Amino acid sequence: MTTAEPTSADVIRPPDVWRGPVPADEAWTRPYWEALRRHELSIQRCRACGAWQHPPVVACPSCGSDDLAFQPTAGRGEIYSVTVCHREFGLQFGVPWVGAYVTLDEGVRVATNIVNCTVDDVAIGLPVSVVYQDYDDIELTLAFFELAEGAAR
Amino acid sequence: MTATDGFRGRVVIAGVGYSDLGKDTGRSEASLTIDAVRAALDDAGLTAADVDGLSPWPSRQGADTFSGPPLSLIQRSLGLQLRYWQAGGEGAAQLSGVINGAQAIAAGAADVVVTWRTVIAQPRAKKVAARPVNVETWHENGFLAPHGVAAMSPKWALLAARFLYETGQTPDDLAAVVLNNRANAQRNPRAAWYGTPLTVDDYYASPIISTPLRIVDCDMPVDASVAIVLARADRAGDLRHAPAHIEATAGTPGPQTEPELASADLVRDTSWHNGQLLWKLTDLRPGDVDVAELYDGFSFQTLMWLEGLGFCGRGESGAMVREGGGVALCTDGGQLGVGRYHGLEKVAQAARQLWGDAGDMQVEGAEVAVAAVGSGSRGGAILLTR
Repeated sequence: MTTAEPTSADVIRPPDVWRGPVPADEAWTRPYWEALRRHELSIQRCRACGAWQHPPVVACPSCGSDDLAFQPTAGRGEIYSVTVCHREFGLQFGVPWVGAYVTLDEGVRVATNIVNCTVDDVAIGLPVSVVYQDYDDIELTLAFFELAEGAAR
Repeated sequence: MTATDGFRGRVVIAGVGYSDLGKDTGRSEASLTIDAVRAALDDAGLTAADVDGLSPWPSRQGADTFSGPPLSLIQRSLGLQLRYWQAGGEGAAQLSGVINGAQAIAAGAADVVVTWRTVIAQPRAKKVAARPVNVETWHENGFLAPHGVAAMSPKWALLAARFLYETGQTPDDLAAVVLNNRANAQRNPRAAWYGTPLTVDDYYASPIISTPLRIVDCDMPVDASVAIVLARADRAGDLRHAPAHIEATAGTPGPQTEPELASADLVRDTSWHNGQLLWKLTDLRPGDVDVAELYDGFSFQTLMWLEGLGFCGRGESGAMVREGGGVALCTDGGQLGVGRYHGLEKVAQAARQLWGDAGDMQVEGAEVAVAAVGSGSRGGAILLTR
C-alpha cells in the first residue's frame, strides 16, 4: 500500500501517472484502445443486426454475420456492480479504490473504476458517465466513470 | 440425453490421496504431487503399474506458480506406461481433470486414470528491486486488468456484490458460510484452521479486503496436493473401497459466459447453468443428496451453488446455511477451513463420505454426494453415488 490509512471522505481521483497493468497490443482489441486515445468509448457492433458486443467477437452471436465494426457509444450507463477495494492488487491506484462493472446504455458491460467521488457515494444502479484520462508517455487512455449529474444514493 | 446415458455403472472413484498441507512446506509442487498420487494409489489398492491415464488440471503452461508440476515430470518420475494423457487450462476448471479422465475411461481410452490439483501458497520468485510497471495483459484480461478487476479478490467481490444485490441477501449470509465451514474444520485435523474456531464477532472484526468480502470470506493460500484415482467400474473387484460411482457431471460455460463482461446473467452463470445441466443427466434430485461439497474459495460461491443446484430457492441460501438441516455442507471445513486446495479435494471428500471413510467428519449413511467448483464463467459439478 502506498497511501496512509484512507478515510471515506477522500475523493478518489484518476492517477496522474499510470504504472498499473496495460492492455497488450492485439488486433482484435486494438480499435477499442485506439478510439479511447481519441476520447471515444467505441464498442464493436454488428452492421447486419445492430447487436453490440463487448469484449469483441469474430462473428455476431446474434445473427452470424462477419460484418462487425467499432462504433462510438454515448459513454453513459449505470453501475452493474461495484466493490471498494482496500488492497492495491498491483493496480497502483492508491487505496481505497473502486472497481466496477458499468452497463452502458447500449446494453454491454465494461470494467472500470469510479472516480471523482468518495467510496461512500457508490452503489449498484447509479447513473454514471465516462471520463477519459490520458497517459501520453505510454500512449494509453483509460476510460474511468464518474457519477452522473444528480446521481444520489 | 437420458439419465441412462450418464456415467452410472461405468466409472468409479477408486482412491484419494493427500500431500502434507501447510502455509509454507518448503516442498516443490512435483514432490507434493508424488506424495498425493502415491497415497491415492495406496488408498485404491492399486500401484503405478495399473495406471494408464493421466488427466490433471491445469498442469504447467509457463512460468507460473498456479499450474502445478509439468505432466511429464510426474509421468517420468512414476515410470508410467500411458494410453491416455491430457491437461490444460480450459474446461470445467478444477473438475476438468476428473471429467476428462472419466470420459476417457467411459470411452475405453484408459482403465485407470490419475488426476491431481497441486497448489503452492507463496511464489518462490526471486526478490525484484522494484515492482513491475505497466505489465502487459492479454486477451479478455486486457479489458479487466487495467481497472484492477482481474485480480481475484476484486473480481469475485464484484460478483459477490451483484449476487447479494439481486438476491436480497446481506453479509450475514456470507458469515453463515464462513461459520459453518470453520466449525466443520474443527473436526478435520488436516485443516489449516483446525483448533481455531470463529465466532460471528470474529467475522465482523475481520478486515474488509474488497467489499463485501472480508479476509475470512477468502480462503487462505496453502501448499497442498490432492490426487484422485478413477477406474473402470468393472475393476471394482480389485479395489479396496466399495465403488463410489460417478453418476453425472456438468462443466460447461453458458453461451456467453466467457469472460465475465459478456454474460447476460452473471449471477446465475456456472452454478445455475451447470446445476440445470447436471439434473438432466440423472433421475436423482437435490432432495436425494446427503452431502454437498460446494466451492468456497470465497464464501458467496457456496451460496451461489446452493441456489444454482436447486437445494433452495433464489435468495434463500444464507438462511438455509444458518438454520442448518437438509444437506451436509462442506463437511471437511471447505477451503475456508482447510486452506486453498482449489477444488479437487471436494471430490475426494465426497467420495470419502460415500465410503464411510471420513472419520469425525462422517455423515452417517451418506449415499449421494455432490461436489461443485468455480463461479463466474468457469466451473462444474459432479454427482457421486454409493
